[in-house]
Amino acid sequence: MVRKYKKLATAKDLNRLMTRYYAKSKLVGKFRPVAWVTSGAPVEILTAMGIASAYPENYGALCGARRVATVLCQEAEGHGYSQDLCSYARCHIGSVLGKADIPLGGLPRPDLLVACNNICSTAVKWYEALAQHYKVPLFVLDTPFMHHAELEAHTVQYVAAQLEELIAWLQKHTGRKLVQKKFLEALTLSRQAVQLWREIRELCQAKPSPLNAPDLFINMAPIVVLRGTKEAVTFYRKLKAEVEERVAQGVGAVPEERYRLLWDNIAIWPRLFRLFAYFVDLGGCFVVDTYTNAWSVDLDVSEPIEGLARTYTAVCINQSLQMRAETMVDLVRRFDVDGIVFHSNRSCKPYSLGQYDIRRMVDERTGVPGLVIEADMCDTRAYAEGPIKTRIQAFMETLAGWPPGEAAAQKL
Amino acid sequence: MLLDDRRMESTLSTFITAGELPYRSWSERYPDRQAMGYLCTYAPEEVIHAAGFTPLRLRTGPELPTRAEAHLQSFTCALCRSVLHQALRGDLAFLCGLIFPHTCDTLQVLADIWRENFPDLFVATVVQPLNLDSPSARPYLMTELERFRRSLAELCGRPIGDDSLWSSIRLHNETRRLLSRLDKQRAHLTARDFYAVVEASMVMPKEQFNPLAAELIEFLGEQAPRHKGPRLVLSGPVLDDLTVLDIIDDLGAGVVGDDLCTGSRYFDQLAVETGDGDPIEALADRYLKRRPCPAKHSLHCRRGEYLLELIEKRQADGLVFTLQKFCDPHAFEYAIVKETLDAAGVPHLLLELEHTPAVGQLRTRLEAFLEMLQVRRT
Ligand code: SF4
Ligand code: SF4
Repeated sequence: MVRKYKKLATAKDLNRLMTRYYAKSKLVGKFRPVAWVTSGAPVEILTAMGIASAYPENYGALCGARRVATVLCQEAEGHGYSQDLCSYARCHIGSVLGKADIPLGGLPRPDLLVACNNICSTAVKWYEALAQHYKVPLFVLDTPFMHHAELEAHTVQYVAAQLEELIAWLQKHTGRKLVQKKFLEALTLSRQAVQLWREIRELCQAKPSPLNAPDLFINMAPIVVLRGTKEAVTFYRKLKAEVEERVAQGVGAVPEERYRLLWDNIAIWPRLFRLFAYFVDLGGCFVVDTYTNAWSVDLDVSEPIEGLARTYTAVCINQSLQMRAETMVDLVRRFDVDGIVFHSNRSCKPYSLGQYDIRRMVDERTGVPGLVIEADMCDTRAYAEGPIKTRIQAFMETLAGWPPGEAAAQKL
Repeated sequence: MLLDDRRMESTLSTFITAGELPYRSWSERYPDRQAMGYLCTYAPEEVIHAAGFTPLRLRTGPELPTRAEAHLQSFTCALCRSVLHQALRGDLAFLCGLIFPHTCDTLQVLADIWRENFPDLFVATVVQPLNLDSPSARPYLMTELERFRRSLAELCGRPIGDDSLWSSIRLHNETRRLLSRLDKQRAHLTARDFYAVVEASMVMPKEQFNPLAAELIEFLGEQAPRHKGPRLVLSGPVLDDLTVLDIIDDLGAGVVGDDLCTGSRYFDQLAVETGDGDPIEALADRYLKRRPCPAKHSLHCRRGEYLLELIEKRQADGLVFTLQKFCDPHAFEYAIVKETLDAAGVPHLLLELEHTPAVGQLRTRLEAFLEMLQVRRT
């Protein structure tokens, strides 16, 4: 694996944490009910009730990073799932339906399914398919899309009412109760982890940036799958200390940071290191991204249910293009970004469609140019190495001003 | 009889012309009308009508959607690309506004793109609930519909009273009733003609459509069934390009029922129309009761079972999925429903339609499928 930037010492901790998480999840079904949940589901409730959560999306990313996703996608396609559907969904369904050898032997069998559409409506269909396959109960949490900035009272009420329904539904199916003390504890731990994650990301405003996008993508796993646990908080504390140390010492993630870049959309997992190494060669460091940013929204714990309703409805990808453009303008300014790379991800329509308009909106307001590259987060059939390299090269040359190196030299 | 035949032909041709795309001549055809565009059967047509506008459904046009390329990637469904193209070309300049209900991820993005690119146009979003099984969906939906009613009232500068809403509800119910009757008599029409009538109902002012449709239904009673070949049920999202139907007609088969967005899902379920109580409640209840689009979630609607019932009721020989390429909710639904159909031994065919369908290939595949059905029959 090409890794042209400094490895974090906490990488060992992350490894240990995730290995333990997956090892534990193998056995967890023996002691506790297991729910499969979407990445934007309010797991704090499940955690507090002692229900274990497993994340098919995270599993999809893992299959992508291990470069087995395409084969698994084909498996699902053989069962009638169109090649144009989300590759997390396809490769996970493929891992469920297929007979192939699959990473970690698959996720622990679900007793329950909980899907929230704050990331997309695709996830709901994916879970409907799983519910039919496993013949287990499915709960859908509907968080109405925000075409406008204000979150209206009837929307919050609707989501909050469904959260109450979710609690009753979980109790009915597992016999477990939601104890207020445990709930508050999970919320607090979740909030702490999210806050640490946010602080870590903010540290990347430093020049040079202590982290590059692959660091963010890899280190986001605990915030997704271990949100609401002590382990996550401990891990992020340690990570933050290391990143702070880097900033204090003036240590950058890449050897020579000439261009500060912003990444939009999900990573291209099978090419994670290779693609970013290519930018590193040209002096590009991704100091910030919109994907891992999604897990840094503060949680309001004063009114737990209403707070959860607000937080989970207002996640970035559940907001209008206009609001997403605004978020990017803010990131560009605060992180002093020179260029934006938009991953036009065939798999994820809600995230990718509209990127052309966002690019124009952000450019108009900041003057920072954007490059759109067509690819897929997991399915390697949608990734054309040659053309992507050429386009990146050309883009980096525009950033530099021609001839190359000149603008870069001025900048230094 | 001959006279009747001629009148029927002329009624049909009125419907066919009404539905023709692009809509450029719409204003000339209905000079005293103001059109409000919408994209999906979840748009509250009754509220639009009560505000004094004529709801007009936007559909995929014949032109290649080249102008949409600067806004929507190639993995967007033809419908969304085409309507944006039509708008950017100026074909929709006569619209007073556009209504986006919430269904799929693509439509959700398109609403924002529209607001961004036509800043002077009235664009309203109605975010209908997805979780139809939740008891809290109903109050939420009612507030959302009220909000929509207010924003239209603001646009037209006067309140939308309950009385005008009730009369719009009755008008739209009448259209749905007529279309349901026609649905049961469709054996007397070619597949293309049937869907041309449904298209017209979404384009013409309902006041003009209803009497003509009633007339047509009367004539049809006396016609002989059109086809002798295999009987098909269609399932999928919108079916805007009627080429598939031409092929089916041409091959002597018939369409005897459907679960299409531009078919029975448009006229499924009536709203309560008693005139007392809250009209918004009546509308909300219809949305919660109607057969949902796959982009909505309801454990009470098992499409597979619904289709099996329909197939049995209409004595169909097989089912054709007319899917739009890049339409996620229906693509998932296909994989889910397929299992049920396979288990029940119902023959089915998947046609994935792109903007310009490959006619020859469609024909070959349909031909083979129909032959197989014919063999099974005998
Ligand atoms: S469509 Fe996008 S948001 Fe939805 S599951 Fe796939 S990658 Fe995630
Ligand atoms: S439901 Fe399907 S056909 Fe309809 S707008 Fe969405 S993607 Fe297009």
